[in-house]
Amino acid sequence: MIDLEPSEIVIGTARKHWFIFVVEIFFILAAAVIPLLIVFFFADTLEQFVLEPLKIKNLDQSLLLFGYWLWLLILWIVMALIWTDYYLDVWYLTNQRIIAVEQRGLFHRKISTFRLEMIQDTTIEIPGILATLIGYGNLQIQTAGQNEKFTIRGVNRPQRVNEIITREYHRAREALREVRIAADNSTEKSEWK
Amino acid sequence: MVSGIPWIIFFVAIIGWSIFSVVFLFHWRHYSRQSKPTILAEMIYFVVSITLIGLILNTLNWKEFYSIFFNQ
Repeated sequence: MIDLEPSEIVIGTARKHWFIFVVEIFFILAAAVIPLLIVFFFADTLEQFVLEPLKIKNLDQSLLLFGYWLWLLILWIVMALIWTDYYLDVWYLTNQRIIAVEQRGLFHRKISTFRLEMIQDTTIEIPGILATLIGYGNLQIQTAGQNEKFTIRGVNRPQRVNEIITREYHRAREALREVRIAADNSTEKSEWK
Repeated sequence: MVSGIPWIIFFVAIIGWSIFSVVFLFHWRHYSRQSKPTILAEMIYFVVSITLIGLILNTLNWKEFYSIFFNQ
């Protein structure tokens, strides 16, 4: 969970597009189906090139099923990892800052925060025809801090996310300007006393 | 089954799955807000996992299990 400051509220969240998740899952599904295709369509080839050289005769059907269910269990665990990476990779936009959470596997998690008024410029990249049609892209934010660049890849509706961030950036700058003017005025008054 | 190797593989897989599941559940409970999608994801994960473990168990030879682990 993300710890927010007392006056801080979450305005929105930005996640990767569902298409990114679906593409990764497609490979898992392919890996699940390929053993079945091999057994059904290439049984003769399998016997000739794998079973005969290994001197295996009359392969037990329950052993094949055992191997297949075990393979599916492994794939299911990999899928859970992909889901965790997809779901917990998120940017929180608050009224004060952006909190970028990057999940890399189960044990590697990186949380970066930067204040909205630190933003210098933003870049949107739409990489290709699929990204254009489906509506995802990469959003890069350059800040004045030590970690200069923050990137979220494959984010859903990057233009919309960028609009909201820019709007909140202007609001934060305006609020900061008002605080500075008020501070300057109070300093001037105390100097005249 | 001709040997007890599948049973040994099964127990190694169960230990691996259990460790992964505990870490996985910790992540979801700790890092994500407990909303409907996260609870649903946890439920789907465990229902499918337990079904697959049941299917694996169904292919194993229980007589062999007793002969290996209880010398019967």
